[in-house]
Amino acid sequence: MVLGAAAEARTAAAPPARKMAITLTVNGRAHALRIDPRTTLLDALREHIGLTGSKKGCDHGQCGACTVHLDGERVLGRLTLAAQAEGHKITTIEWLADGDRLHPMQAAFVEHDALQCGYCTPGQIMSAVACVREGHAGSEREIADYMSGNRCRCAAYPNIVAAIVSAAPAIGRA
Amino acid sequence: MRPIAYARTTSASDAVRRASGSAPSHAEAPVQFLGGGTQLLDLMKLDVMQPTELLDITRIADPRMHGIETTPQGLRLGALVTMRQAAEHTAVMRDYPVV
Repeated sequence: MVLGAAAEARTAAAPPARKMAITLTVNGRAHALRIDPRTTLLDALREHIGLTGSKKGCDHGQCGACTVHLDGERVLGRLTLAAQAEGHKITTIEWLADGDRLHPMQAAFVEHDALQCGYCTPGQIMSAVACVREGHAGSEREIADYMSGNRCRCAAYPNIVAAIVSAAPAIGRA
Repeated sequence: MRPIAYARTTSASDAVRRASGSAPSHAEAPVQFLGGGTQLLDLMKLDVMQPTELLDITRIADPRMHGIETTPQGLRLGALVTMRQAAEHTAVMRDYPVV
């Protein structure tokens, strides 16, 4: 595509970005990184820290596969710069299970068959945990509303809602 | 995405000073304010917005910038109010459901 090629050429001609030093606190551990300022939180987690549980789906914040928690609130890792997350407590899907013991929400997703391909599942589960803690799991309708930022191309939606309904009492409000 | 610099400020007047320049409009200015980032980062990936520096303003503590006020004249949303804060605000839900 002509437009795309022109944009690429301009990008290539631009001077290389200077790296910046940041420290990210992920799942209770501090990670000192040297990154290009453009690095998103998702890429920092996946490419620099090696936590590949959070997924890159649409890359534009529309699908929710990249959902992680920042100070307990859900954010889209793909639309948050890593540098913005410095000083905040970052939690990813890798933090939920206690060894081999699944988090109640993970167990509920298994029990209710709330996935097919599983690609969106880490984002779904991070959103689901936040949805319950926020107090938005009062009804199936409310859950559907507050989970609407997470797409599932396999359309496991009814089972996802059922999993959240069943796990909610064990998780409780924040 | 084009190369950028990232900086933070904790003062609104400093942010305004650093972002003001010769560009004909704020949208074309080389220094752009970074709040939530949802719109800006997406438009930068699409090469629509082309800033050279992002100035993170989320650490400005000014309570007015984080607050929602309703008066007989209308609704005032601080520049750093999050979508979630606005969506869960009692008066916004009651009087401004479309927002």
